[in-house]
Parts: sequence; C-alpha cells; structure tokens
Amino acid sequence: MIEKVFNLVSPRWKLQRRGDYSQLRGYGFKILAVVLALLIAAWALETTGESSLELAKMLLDTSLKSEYGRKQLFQLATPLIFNGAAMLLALRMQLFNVGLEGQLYMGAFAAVAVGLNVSGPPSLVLLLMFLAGMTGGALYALIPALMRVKAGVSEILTTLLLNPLAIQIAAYIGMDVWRDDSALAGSSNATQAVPFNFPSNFGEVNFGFILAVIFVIGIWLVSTKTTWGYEVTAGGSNIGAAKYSGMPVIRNMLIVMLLSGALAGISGMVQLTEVTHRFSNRLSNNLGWMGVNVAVLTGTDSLALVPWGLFLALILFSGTILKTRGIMDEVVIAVTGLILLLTSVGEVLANYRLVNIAKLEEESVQNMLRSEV
Amino acid sequence: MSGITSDKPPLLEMQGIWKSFPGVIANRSVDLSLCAGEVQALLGENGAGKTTLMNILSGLYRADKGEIFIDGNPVNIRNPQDAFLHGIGMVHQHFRLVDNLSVAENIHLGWDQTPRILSKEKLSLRIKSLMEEFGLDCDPNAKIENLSVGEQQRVEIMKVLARGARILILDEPTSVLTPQEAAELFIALRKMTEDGRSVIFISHKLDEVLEVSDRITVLRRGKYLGCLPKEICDARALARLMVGAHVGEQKYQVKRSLGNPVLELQAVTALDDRGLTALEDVDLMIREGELLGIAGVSGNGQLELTEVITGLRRIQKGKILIREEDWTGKSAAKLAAAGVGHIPEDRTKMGLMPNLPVLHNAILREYRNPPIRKGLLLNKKPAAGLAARLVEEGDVRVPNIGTMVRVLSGGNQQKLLTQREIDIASRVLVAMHPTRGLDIAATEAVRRALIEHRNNGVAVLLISEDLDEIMTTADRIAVIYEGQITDSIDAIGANRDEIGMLMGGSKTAMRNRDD
Repeated sequence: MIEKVFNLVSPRWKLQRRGDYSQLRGYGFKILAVVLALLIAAWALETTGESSLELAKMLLDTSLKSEYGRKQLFQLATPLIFNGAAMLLALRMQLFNVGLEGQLYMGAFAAVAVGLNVSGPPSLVLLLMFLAGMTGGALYALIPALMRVKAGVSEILTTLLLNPLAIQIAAYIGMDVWRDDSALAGSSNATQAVPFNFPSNFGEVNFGFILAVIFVIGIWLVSTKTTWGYEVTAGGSNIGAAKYSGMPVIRNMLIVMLLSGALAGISGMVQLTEVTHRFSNRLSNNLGWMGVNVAVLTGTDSLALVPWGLFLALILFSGTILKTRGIMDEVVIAVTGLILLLTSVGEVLANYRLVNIAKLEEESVQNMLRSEV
Repeated sequence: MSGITSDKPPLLEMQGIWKSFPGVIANRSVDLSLCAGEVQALLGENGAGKTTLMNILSGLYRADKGEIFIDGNPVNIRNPQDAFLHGIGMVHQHFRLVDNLSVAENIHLGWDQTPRILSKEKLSLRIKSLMEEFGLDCDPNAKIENLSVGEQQRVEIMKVLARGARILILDEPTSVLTPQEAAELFIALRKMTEDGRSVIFISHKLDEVLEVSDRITVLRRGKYLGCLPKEICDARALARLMVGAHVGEQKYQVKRSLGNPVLELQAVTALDDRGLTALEDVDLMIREGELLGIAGVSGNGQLELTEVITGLRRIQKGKILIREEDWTGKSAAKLAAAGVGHIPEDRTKMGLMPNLPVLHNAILREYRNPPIRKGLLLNKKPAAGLAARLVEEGDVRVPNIGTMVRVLSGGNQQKLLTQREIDIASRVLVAMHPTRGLDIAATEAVRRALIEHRNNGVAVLLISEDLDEIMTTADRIAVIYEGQITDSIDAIGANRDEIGMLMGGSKTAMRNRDD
C-alpha cells in the first residue's frame, strides 16, 4: 500500500519491500521516530512561550534524578508492562483483546473480595489475592473468547463493550455494596483499604515491577523456546496453515485469550495492593488501554516490553509534572499519540528501501541477461 | 510480415512498452499491433508478461515507458475508465460477477446506460436484444450462481461488449472451460469479429491458439519475439519460440508391475462448507508406486476430496483405508504422522506461512516429533538441520533459512512446500494444482519430484485442472464431476476428447477399466 502511494508521486525513486527483517534496523527506526516526536512536542511547547530545553531538564531532574521520581516510574510502569504483555500475547494469535481495562477491574474485584474477607498470614492471603486477580481477569476474558471460537463473534466488539460494564460494576461495589462508611473515608465512594501489602525491601523497585519482569521473561521463553509458542506464532501468522498442519487452533486461541485476561487481572490486583488499596471505579486511569500502546511500541520482541513500559511511564509521569506547571496534560496525550503514530510509520518503513528506478531497471536487465546465458 | 495489410492505421498499436516490478522487468520494449476484425493470440508461458501487457492496455497498470495508439491517435490510458472510453474491455481470468444477482442485473451493474427506473422485464428485454446482437445465448433472469462457468464467462463478455468495447481482451479464457465449452467460445469469438470488433486472446495453449487466431504475438520473459500469421505457424515452432529451447512431448509413465493398495476410499460421502453434498459415494484406490491423476473442472469436489484424505474434513459415510487399516475420522495431525503428505491448492493461504522465515515453515509438519520437540521445548538445532536439508534436497533458492517465505518466488515457495510434504509422505502424497502459476522450470522440478516419489513406492494423488499435466504425469486417470469420480483408466492410450467429455459431465463413461 505505502509503496503504491509513494511510487505514484515519485518519478525517479521507488519504495521497495525488503526481503529480510532486521531487528536492529527496526529499533533504529523506532528510536528515530521517538526523537522526531519529542522534537515536534518541543517545538509546540516553544510556540507557547516555554523553554523546552529547560522543561526537559526539569522533567528529567524530577523523574530520573530523584529517588521519589524513580520509585514513581517503576510503579507507573508496572501495570503498563503487564497490560502490554497481555496485548502482545493476544496479538501473537491475531486476537485484538481491547478489553484489558475491564479485565483489569475484574481482577482487582476478585482480589479485593479475597483481601477484605479472608484473614490469615499476609503472604498466604496475598498469594490468594494474586490467584484471584488472575482468575478474575481470565474469566472476564473467557466470555469474549468463547463467543469468538464458538459463534465467530468478533472479539474486538465484545471485549470493547465489556469494559464499561466492568467499570460500572466497580462503581456499584465501591458506592454501595462494600462502601467504606467510616469517617476516615469521607465520601470517597470506595471500599475499605485492603490490609495487606507486598514486601517492599527491594530499594526503589516495587514488588509488582519485579513480578512484571518475571512474567515478561516467562512469556519470552514460552513464545520463543517451546513448541506451544511455535503453534501460537504459526496460528497468528496464518491460521489456514496452522489448521492444515493439525494444530489445535481453537484451543490455542482460548488459552491465549485466557492468559491475556489473566495478565490484565494480575495488573489490577497489583494496582490495588500497591497503589490504591481501596477498590472503586477510579482504580485504573486507563492503564489497560495504555497496554495497547506499549504493545504497539514493542512490536514483536517481548523482552522489549520492559524498556518501552518504562519509557511510556516516563512520558505519563512528565504529564503529571507539567500539570503542576500549569501546562495542560492533554499535551502528554498528544505526544503519546504522536510517538505511536510515528513509530508505527517507522516500523513499516523499516521494511522498505528506497531505490533509484533507473538503477533498478539496470539491475533486473543484468539479472535477466545472466539467467538467459 | 503481417498477413493483413490495409491503408488504414491499425485499430490498436502499442509501441515499446516497458513495465518493471521490484526485481523483474515484466515487459521489455513490447510492441503489439491489432487490426479491426482480427483475433490475435498473445502467447507465452506463465510469467512471460502477457497479463501485464494487457493490464496496461486496460488501465490497471501504467507503463514505465512506451506509447499506445488507437486508430493512429496517441492515447493516454490512466485507469480502467479511460480504457472503457477508448473501447477496450477485458475479461479477467477470475470473474467479477455478483453471484446472487441475475444475468441482466449483473450486466447493468455500474453501467451508465442503465435506465433510471428499473423493472425486471425492462432489464431482461434489453439484455435479450443485446444477446441477439452479439450472438451469445443465456437466460437473462438466471442467477449467476446457477450458471456453469462457461455461461458465466459469456455474461462477462456480454458485460464488456454492452459497454461498447471494440477491443475485447480475454485472459486465459479456456483455462476454466471444458473442451466443448471452449469450442463454443471460439465460434462466438468469430462471430464478434465479423462486425469489426477485435479480440486479444491470452493463452499458453498452442492448439487453441492455432485454432482460433489470425495472428499470434509471442512473448518470452517480457520480450517481444514477433507477430506471426497463423498460416506459417505450427505447434512445434510456436512452442520452441515460446519456451526458447526444444521441448518434446514429455511422458513420464513407465509400465511397471502394480503393488499393493495403499490408499482406499470406500463409498465416501462428504459435505462442503455450505452443508451441500460435495462428494457422493466416492470409491478410489491407489497402489504402491502409482500416480493417480484426477481431472476435472474446478469446483466439482476436488478440494473436499483432498481434505477428506488428509483429515481436514469429516466424512458423512464411507471408509478411508491406508494399507488396509481403517483411518476414517482421524485428525490431520495423526494422518500426517502416519505418512500422508499434502500439497494444498493455495500455498500462501494454507501450505505456508509467508510472513515467517523458511525455518518456521520447514518445521510445520515435524515440530511435534523428536528430535525437534524435546518435552515442551522446541529444539532449534535439529529444526535448523531439517530446514537446511529441505532447502538443499528441494533445490530451493534462498539466501538463508532466516529469509521470509513471502520474498521467495512462487516456484521456490512451491519447491519448499513440495519437499516438506514429500519428506513426511512415506505412504500417500496428495497434490492439488501443484504447478499452478509456476514457470516451466519450476513446473518441471515439482513434477519430477512427484514422479520420483512415486518411484519410491508411495501412492501419489494428483488433482489438476490442467489436462495436459494429468495426461503426461499420471499412470492412471479418473475424472471428477459434481462430486462423483469415474472409474480410472490407464493413462497410456487415454483418449483426450473422451476425458474432456467426462469433465463436462457427459454420461458416456469410459469402459476400458484396467483392473
């Protein structure tokens, strides 16, 4: 497509698709795209009278150079990495699970149910909450998964529509069913705080972040080193070929969808335990949706989820800081959008090379002459 | 040189047409001249640049270089609408008809002369008068889905003629027709040229080119080799021009003693995706070291037959035996493990994963078995070993096994696929249209691979629309028509016309059974 448009307007140069895919070239184009997006953002800020260099220095000082800033970054990156992994896994199988936000809420819901109603040694309850969060997210993803494999209903629609439902359920739980009426809570419209915390003796890094990294490594191992990972890659690449070779395509789709939901559910549980402690409809600020962005930025290499998650966390965190300076945080949304747009374009362009038409003709004549001899 | 001379400029002239695609020049300074009232054949093998040239003429592609004249005036054809305005109409190999609309509705679709106020009667009346004018016959009220392929083609032709085409381009029109339908088409073409229309007829079949055309333009690998009047041509000379080297009638068959039955289908009935009967009481038997060819016009149950044998489709009734063991209802994975290889009809939709490297494609069949599978793990070393071996044995031209399959040529893709399936096919190999769209060298390589595998004692089933392929490659031939398969006959001495009749559904079955 892109080469057709380009070739229509360019008389002398032509875009030609490359035969090989180089990971390195892909990264190069992505970093280039990010730099370009940041430059555009800087230019936009300049026009409003701000000094973008000064702002950039301030942002980096606040985020990377302070202990508080670094802690915030890891905390913010945790759900982004989990949900990015959830999206990436689903995309491997060509499943568009855009219901991560809802699955995150349902995971947190299951976790809070355990946390408020089970008493026991903290590590045991936390483990139960973790399992509950995983199950809650997976079960909420099971509905669209079954509709997809049994009735062929597009999972994009079903997962999308299940998001507001989950958030409304969260609102109902927080405002009514388990509302904390104590004076301390005031009118927060949330449940009581869960009285269990993850261990925090890892310096600046939060426990949830470590979990996220472990899961990313696990996903990478499974998808590149196991036969099941191969089946998922094959099924996502060409479902016809997977069926032809006798792979259990339907079963794999179900498993992938359940795993994707489980990851989103775990991120909900982590968010509840580490950040909000209380369950309400304000548990997640579009964290599930940000997972889509992380997955798109990451592309195919699942290990890259961690750096991209951290990078996006930096951008989001910058937004919070800018807000305190009176700059609208819509700027950050615009910058995120710009980065996504440009990296997507860059990713496509990385597969092409620019060639001179005259040279190309000469090359093929040469080839032809050689093959005719 | 031209057989037809006249003071008037030719109806159409294309001069010095160049067209290149990434890595290949499809047309290299090609000329073409077409007189009014002429049927001209455009002859060349697959990939010679015939369709590219005609796509340029009909506005689908734009030439890199070159000029087009109509009635001596230079014209600029930028899109299909321009081509229509200049009276150029093309009937593509794959029809562009709406299945659940009638003939009359299809012809009126997107036509600027369609009346504003529609009625069924009005439309069919208009079509009836058109049909009389063009000498084509078809029921205007019939739904497209109920028409035979030949009738559908007539509708396509009428669609183009109704829009006032003076130059009718037919892209491999007979590839989907039975010999009888093809003969009818030729008569219709002759009639059309009587009132000054011209026909360009793309083909790679020598006999029909000689039968129907006045002049023959030959292309080879994008190069224009000349335009010859039919009178001075014969099939052998044309073949030599088209292919570039001497080709003889190649027969692979050798008389050998027959082995034991390997694959047997007993009264198999199966449904297609819409739930209609696709195979009805099919009996079939292939012996050790035997190549059975199934001829037939596509859509008569061939796809379902391959899927039934390879475990991709459940059967309603009947039995499937491999070496006298019952394998009915077993999964595709189990059958593959039992030594049933499958070269599917569409290599990019089914047989291969174009967006993955050669490595991933090579292990598609073997990843479940040790040593490639080690517990839950995929063992990279033997996987790479298998890929390298398939590439070498199949003579697949590829820089390395990390190359994406989509960048390979069709021939190399098919060689990879064929070799992979041959590798697992220790008992049965099912091949559907294995050489479709390949050039002569790749076709030869694939056919030879099938033959060699047959010689190793494997039962090979070859399903093809190309009657020549079946006649030259198979040991025995059967015909499939509307889900039923005729008794097979010995390929040596088989009568082409008779097979053609059976492909078209004629009931006078052959009676010379060989067993």
